[in-house]
Amino acid sequence: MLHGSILRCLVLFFLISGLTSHAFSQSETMSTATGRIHFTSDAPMEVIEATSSATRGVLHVARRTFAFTLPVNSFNGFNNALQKDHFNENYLESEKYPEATYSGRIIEQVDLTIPGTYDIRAKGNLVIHGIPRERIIRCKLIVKPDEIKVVSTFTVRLGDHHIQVPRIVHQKIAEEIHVDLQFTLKPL
Amino acid sequence: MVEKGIINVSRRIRWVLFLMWGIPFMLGAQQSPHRNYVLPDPFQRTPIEHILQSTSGLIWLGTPAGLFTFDGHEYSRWSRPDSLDEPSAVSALFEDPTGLIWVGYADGHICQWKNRFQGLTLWSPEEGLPQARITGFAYATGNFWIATYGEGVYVWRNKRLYQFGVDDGLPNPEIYCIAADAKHRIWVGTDDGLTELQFFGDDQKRIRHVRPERFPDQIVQTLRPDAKGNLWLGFFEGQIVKYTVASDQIEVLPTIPDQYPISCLLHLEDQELWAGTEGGDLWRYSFRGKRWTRGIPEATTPGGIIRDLIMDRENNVWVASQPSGLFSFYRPVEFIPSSGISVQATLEDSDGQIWAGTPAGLYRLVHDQETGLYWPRHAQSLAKENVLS
Repeated sequence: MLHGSILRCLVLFFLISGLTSHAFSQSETMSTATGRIHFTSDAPMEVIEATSSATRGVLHVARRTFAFTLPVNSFNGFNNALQKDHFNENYLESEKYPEATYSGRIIEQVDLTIPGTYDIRAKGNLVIHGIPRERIIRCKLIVKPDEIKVVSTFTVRLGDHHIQVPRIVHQKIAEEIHVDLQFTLKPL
Repeated sequence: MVEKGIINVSRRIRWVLFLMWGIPFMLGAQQSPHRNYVLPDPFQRTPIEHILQSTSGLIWLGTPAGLFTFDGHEYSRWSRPDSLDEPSAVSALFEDPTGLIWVGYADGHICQWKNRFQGLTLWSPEEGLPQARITGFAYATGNFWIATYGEGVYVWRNKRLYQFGVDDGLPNPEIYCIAADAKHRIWVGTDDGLTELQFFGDDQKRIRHVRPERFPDQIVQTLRPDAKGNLWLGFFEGQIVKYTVASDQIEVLPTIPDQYPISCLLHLEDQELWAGTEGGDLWRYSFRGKRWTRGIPEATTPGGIIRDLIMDRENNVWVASQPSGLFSFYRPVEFIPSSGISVQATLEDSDGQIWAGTPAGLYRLVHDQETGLYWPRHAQSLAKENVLS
């Protein structure tokens, strides 16, 4: 009787673990809707920081392709409300260009079904302010059985995306913006 | 008795050669126009695979045991920064227009050498470094190009790194060779032939393939631009092709005997093309005679592998070979067998023919089509004259 019970438990255990691993390997698409992006403009006369947790996107594990989009007006945490207005209305023109996107492919031929930490480079088209630029962005991927965490830091030059800053505020807004991000992708 | 004489292949220094030929004759000695070099202990058996002469005059040597320089007297070995594993094979060497030395490694790292005090420093662009073997560098019109075996080509412009990959239309990510031609065009050789790459300031890429079926083989292993804007291509199956870019013309050279893969080429002032092979030693093609002859038989080994060829500022050809090692060869002066005649005077005439004066008359050196060697031919009218000058 006891033997039968243990056997049933073992069969159930292997069945579940088998199904789980099968489910993960079959889950070719991982996604997020709450990706966090933070930027810092470190200019001589002012430091401006803001954060958004509204990045949506998907990663196709087998093809190593990805696409992410960020509502530009979702950034919060500016030094004051007027600064946020200027960010949206004057510089990023978020009504005209409501989203920033990044889509492309992972250069390294990594197997993202195997848990581990991978330093990879993403190559894609970064569109900000309606201006696309090819970018290679270094990322750390932490692959776990049920999620992939993406961590990265990179820079964005305002000039690359035709974001014009009036001369009078050159000392308050940096030409090169530092960006750091953290996404947790779950099976779709 | 002098077994070998020296002839001058340049008219401008004819009189110098005249003296040089006379001296060994008088001394009854043999001189070799090549010189061997051996890395210091414990690297004596380390093969040298890449050679560069920088504008400073230093000779740079890339080996599986790392980077060496040679200043004519001493060797120096340059280690990578402590953060990187040692040793790693040097797989590419380049000097950019600012005098900065770029060193590519088999593990994808790239180091820069600025000066003797700083040594090698790791190049760390924001975009990260390739994780594939660096196979070459090139520079043209503000763009710095990096070829890899497996990740296509990268281009560094305005402090940003961009990639030309298969997704951009590159036929193959495994790049064997890269070079900028005299018109500042960038060319790469792959298993799928020859490709021209262009990159513009607004991130625009343009890729143009030269249809591989036009070539005798698809695999472009090495390419060398000449000063006229032409490209000399060496193929895996042993063929060599001159590609005239302006007219899109392809000229296939006669093949080297046994058709070994071509590993490196050196184009010398419209006179000669030198070709290194993988397993077939070193060969020289005379544009005037339209024929191949063994490169430097007295210095290389039949069946040897030639890794790299360069010409330094003093007209020495440097050859990195296995198993013969590294040697340099003073090209304007070379030995020609003189068949035992006692040469007293030489002259290169306006047609480029070489004449030798001997106690037994005047000889003219000609090429023997069958043996591929130069032999003196007797000038009948002066057969019994003692020609002194």
